[in-house]
Amino acid sequence: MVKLLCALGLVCLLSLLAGRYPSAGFTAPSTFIHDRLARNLLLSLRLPRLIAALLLGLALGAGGTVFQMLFSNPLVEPGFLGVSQGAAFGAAAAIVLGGTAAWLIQISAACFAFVGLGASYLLARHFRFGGWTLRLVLAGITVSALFSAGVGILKYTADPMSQLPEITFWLLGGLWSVGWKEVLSVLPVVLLAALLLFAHRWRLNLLSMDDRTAFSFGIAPVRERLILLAAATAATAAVISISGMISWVGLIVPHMARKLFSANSRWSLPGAMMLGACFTIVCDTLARTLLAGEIPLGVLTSFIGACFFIILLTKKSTKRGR
Amino acid sequence: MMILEARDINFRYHPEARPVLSDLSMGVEKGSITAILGPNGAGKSTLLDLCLGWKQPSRGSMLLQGRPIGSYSRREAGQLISLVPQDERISFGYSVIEYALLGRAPYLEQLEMPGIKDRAIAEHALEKTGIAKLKQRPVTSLSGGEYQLLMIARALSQEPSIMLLDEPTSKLDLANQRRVSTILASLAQSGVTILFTTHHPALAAAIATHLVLLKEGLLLEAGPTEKILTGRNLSRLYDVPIHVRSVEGKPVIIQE
Repeated sequence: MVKLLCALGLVCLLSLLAGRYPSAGFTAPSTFIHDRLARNLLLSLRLPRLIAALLLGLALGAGGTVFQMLFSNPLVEPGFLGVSQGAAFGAAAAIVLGGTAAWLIQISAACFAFVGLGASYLLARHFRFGGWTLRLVLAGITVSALFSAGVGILKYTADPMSQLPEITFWLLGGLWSVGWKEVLSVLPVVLLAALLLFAHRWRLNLLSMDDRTAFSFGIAPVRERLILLAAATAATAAVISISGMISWVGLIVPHMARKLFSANSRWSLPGAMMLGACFTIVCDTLARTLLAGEIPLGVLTSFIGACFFIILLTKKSTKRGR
Repeated sequence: MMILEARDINFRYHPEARPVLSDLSMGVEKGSITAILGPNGAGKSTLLDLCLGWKQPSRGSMLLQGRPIGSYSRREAGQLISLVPQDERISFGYSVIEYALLGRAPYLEQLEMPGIKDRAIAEHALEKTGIAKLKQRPVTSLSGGEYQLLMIARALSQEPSIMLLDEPTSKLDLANQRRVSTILASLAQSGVTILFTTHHPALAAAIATHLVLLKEGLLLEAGPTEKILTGRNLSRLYDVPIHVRSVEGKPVIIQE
């Protein structure tokens, strides 16, 4: 864990130094003292973007672990329960109906992420099939499909010259438009939610059991699950409202954390937070430095994440159920 | 003294559904080993869930130490009653000791994590169930029988006054069945009340001090084993001719 913390520090440092000014590659630290433009670049562009990438990875890593534990299913991620598709619909609706103002897109995306969660919850209460967890999962799939259809309609009706590219870029995901304003707007929510989840990290093990068993441990599983789900969703909604859709981080990072540390969420949750932060910082640094033009972050996380997942699941040492 | 008492319990899943349990009254004595016997669908597991407080009766009341179960806080109830489910799905490879430690939850504050004392209690529970040597193994690599013993160890870590077990020996070989019987008998001797469901009258005859016979949600008979365990009662319960003979002072169940 300490090694990972050191690695995160190193990744942050290298990310701050990496860029294409004054030339492609790593900037010498002394340049920031002598070159005013480089210093401005560091403080106004690279630093807020680094913090955004850190928060993004931390929230998605934590959210993924929490969702996987609460649903006792290692194949779910924060996109579950209509959260991601809700955010995508919110962003697309804001672009088509309200214009391309960044604040409007963010608020709409975050609001609809919660609408997705709320709709999934209400629908699950009315389903007359299976246990609570299964009903919630089925409701999440249904709500995601509805929002996905909505995004399709919005894309179909969007102005192909201005609105459609904007929606497409948002769906691809990236941090190119993130500055201090955006970072500060999501920082309190992400930090509070992350603290709450971190404080409950051992309790997640109890909640990974089925409801009846968890109840027998002297806890109120339904209430506790809802509180932790709301915290994980709040963190996820906040970060994707400024980054757009970033796939695979919430799925792959918890797997890596369990493999590196333990299935026990006392260790795997903080591990997933730090690993997620490392992963998104590395991906975002590559996204902005690899080519002269920016590669969408969501494309890069999906590509690297999927490759890593293949390796993880085909390696002989992969333990059953971990 | 009755530690657990059901008074005129009725239970149905929906108001329109047929009752799973009807007008059931029974008591469980402190320190006894009570077996709930009955054919499939008799309501055995539902009765166990009502005793746990997981399900609430549609009518009637469940009393724990003379007080309604619902009046206990969740933590209080968790310190008094532990559950060994028949089976459970586990998706993550916790180590055996980490899994046994989950039973310490009722003794921990909301944000507290298990400490050295909790670990010692969990390790003792693993020793008692004979699986201490497996403590670093991932639970996903255990056999069905080992896993069942682990669920019992987790319930022991909870240091309960009442232990509820749903088909505790369904996946165990003869040696492990004997081990579980011995554990339950020693727990009862130390004052823990045992209530378990089973499909095997022979197991009930071997270890239970009291029997509860359930059929189609109705209480057929309840009382001390020597009084209730008769060929006539078992034949009525399972609708097949069954005889109970005494061999060297122990009851033997014979099905025709």
